[in-house]
Amino acid sequence: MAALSVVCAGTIFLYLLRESAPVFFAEGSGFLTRSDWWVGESYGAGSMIFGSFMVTGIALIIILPFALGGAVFTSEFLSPRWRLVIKSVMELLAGVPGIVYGLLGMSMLAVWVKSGFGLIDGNTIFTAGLLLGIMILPTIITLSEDALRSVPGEYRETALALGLTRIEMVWSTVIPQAVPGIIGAIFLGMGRAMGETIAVMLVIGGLDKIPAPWFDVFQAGQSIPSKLGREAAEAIGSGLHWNALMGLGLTLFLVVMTLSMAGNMFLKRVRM
Amino acid sequence: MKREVVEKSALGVLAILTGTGVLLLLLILGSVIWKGGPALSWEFLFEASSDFGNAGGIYYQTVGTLLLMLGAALISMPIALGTALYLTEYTQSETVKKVLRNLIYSLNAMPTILFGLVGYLFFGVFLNTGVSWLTGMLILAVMILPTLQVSIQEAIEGIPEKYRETGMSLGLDHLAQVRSVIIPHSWHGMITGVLLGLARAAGETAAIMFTATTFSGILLPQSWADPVPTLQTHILVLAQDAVNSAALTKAWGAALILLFIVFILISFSFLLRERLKMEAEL
Amino acid sequence: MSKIKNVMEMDNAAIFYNGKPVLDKVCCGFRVNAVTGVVGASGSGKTTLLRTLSRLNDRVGGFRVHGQVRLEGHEIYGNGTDVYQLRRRVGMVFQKPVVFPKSIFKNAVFGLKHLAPEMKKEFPQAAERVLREVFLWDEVKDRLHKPAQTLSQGQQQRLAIARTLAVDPEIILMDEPTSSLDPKSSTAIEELIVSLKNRHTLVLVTHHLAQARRVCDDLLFLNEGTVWEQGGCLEMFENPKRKETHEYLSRWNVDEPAV
Ligand SMILES: Nc1ncnc2c1ncn2[C@@H]1O[C@H](COP(=O)(O)OP(=O)(O)O)[C@@H](O)[C@H]1O
Ligand SMILES: [Mg+2]
Repeated sequence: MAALSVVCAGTIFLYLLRESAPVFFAEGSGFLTRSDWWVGESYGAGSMIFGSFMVTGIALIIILPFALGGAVFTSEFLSPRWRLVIKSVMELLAGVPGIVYGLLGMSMLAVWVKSGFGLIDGNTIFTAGLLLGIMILPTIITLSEDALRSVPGEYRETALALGLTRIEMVWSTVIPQAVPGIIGAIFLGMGRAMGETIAVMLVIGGLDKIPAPWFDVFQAGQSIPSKLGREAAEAIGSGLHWNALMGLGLTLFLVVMTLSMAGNMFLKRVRM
Repeated sequence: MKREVVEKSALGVLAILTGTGVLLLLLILGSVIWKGGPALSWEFLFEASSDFGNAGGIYYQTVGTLLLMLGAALISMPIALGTALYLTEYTQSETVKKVLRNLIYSLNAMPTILFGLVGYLFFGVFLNTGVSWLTGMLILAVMILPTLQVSIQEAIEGIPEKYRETGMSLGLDHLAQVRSVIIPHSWHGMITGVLLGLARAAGETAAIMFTATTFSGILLPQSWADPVPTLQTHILVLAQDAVNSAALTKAWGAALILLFIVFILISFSFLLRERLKMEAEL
Repeated sequence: MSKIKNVMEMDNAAIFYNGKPVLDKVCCGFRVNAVTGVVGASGSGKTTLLRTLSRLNDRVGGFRVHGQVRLEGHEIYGNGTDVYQLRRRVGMVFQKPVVFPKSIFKNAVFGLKHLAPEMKKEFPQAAERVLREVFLWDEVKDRLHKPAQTLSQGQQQRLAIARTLAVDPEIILMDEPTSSLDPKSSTAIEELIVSLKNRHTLVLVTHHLAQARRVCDDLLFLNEGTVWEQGGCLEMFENPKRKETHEYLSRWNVDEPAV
């Protein structure tokens, strides 16, 4: 069945494949591993691929405590009324347009990062990761909360009847059963983060380079969608440059689809 | 004793972590209002922009955003309804259902920039609609399809079996059943889906920035083939190229309007859901 | 019971859910203009039998019918049966009253709207006719356009019957139509059933044996998925052929409905 869904997304896949084929012929696997992107000369997408994974990783590390803590507290300790409040807040947050996040990130977050860490420029991989973390918070909270709520109430009562405190009960009975759902939520959140364009584009610095050392995230970088957003308009139909961008699109597509498929499998997808 | 302390402190930490989400929303709202508020005025809302966005208002940008999102919803709605009806009423085949569901999920997870790229090549180049209002609507229509479809389908699946069976027992055929039982009992799902889909379309930038919009020049599209200015791309351009703080204030003002549109739509969907919940409990 | 008079009959029918037989070797008939009661313990297959007669289980996956089910001699599970027409001719009234969240009037003409849209002008008369038939007219004539949910359960059930009558079925199947109603409403429905006999054939599933005795002409006793006994109603109460029938029916004058 999973194979069939591949067939479904296949049209877009084939399209991207066809459009990007020339760059793979020209660059070979170097397209994915080298990071020299000089329009007209060579196309190595390494720095964008690195950047995409890096910002997604940072986003997750920063936001997971908030997302999971929030989900547990909302599902297990809040009254229905307050649950509804949190859920509504999350829905509103999820609705904030990417461009508004971008504007906030660019003119506030980047400034804070700059002064907070004593940098010359606040537009860094870290800034993008932080902003993305905020953006995927609602996705992860909402889906993990659903996973926690779907654990049947009898388990909770049994544990409480044995004399466990509420925290012990949640930790030892509810969370273990909700783990697959929570993992699913995280995968879908990662997919979201990986594909975000506008907000990242405005704060990541736009430098096609892997920082040295690679873990110095307080330098400017580039992600795949950000690169696409910057260059696609001028490159449409212009030979190898266009093919290379489509190669980036294809890479992004494959990564995000893998994440989303894995996520949906973990969630046994009943709802979006 | 120790267990109690653990319980209390754990709860405290969790509460703080949860509170952060609420704070974030307040912070975002507060910042946008604080920074965009000064830009607001009657002229800002109802005048054309001038001097590359440094002066004037955002009237045509707002109209452009509304046009794009309404067009997208209008195109998406019949497709979403058709898909939902097909899945719930017409096909028994589990394979077909699974394939369609997976397709919908894939569409929902797709990075929007890819909609922009592939959508432009498919509609703009292959179907020759160019960089235009029409291309933007079509791309956004595909993009919001999952939102509408899932909402409609959940509503249809929530229809009590007794209503279908009563319709059946009176000899209604498929079409009559759809017209008299299914649609009247699931319209709320349609409206909720449309509201959320509109909100999604209004907030989208990557998919339309090089497929449907221009920064300046055109005021209102004279035909399907013209591009439109939008709030999203207006903010983007001002944010990227702003040389003075006046332009940035205009960007914040536009962001405030955009956020307002999106939040209004989402809030209406809340209201609708709450009202229905109350009715269901009657 | 001569064969010709049976409007509907089952001939050696077996009915399965997911390969599991629920009814087996069923032979039975329903006489024209008679009320046939179907009695038997819960789970004996009464609802399944009714739903089979109007093909309401078509949408249920894993449902199969073997043998013959005939309406006026025509096999209803054969090719070329117009299932919508069949369901119009064989109406069904459910255990819990079902009214749509619409006005009383719209509920009454709900079926007509689709089956005879060209008669739209005559809908008010049609509504009045069927509402009179179910003795509801006087109670609702001043509030025809109020929501049907404002009616009492008993009134709702009569409205449901009126809605079925409006599409003029030859046979009306009723699955425990009074089991969720108070005694007074039950009596009203019983009287209604008797009055409908003139123009319709009725099949009534009931757990209420005294009710069966009062309104039914024939009786069909189901036990664990087979027809245990079929015959005239009084005769079965007074002179059952089988011991089990006797055991089941003998409690008819205990006031509570037998379960
Ligand atoms: N949709 C169904 N799928 C599987 N089994 C069913 C279904 N409906 C009824 N049954 C089974 O068929 C048997 C007869 O049920 P039913 O006809 O409802 O009995 P009654 O109405 O006499 O109480 C029961 O054992 C029940 O579990
Ligand atoms: Mg039953």
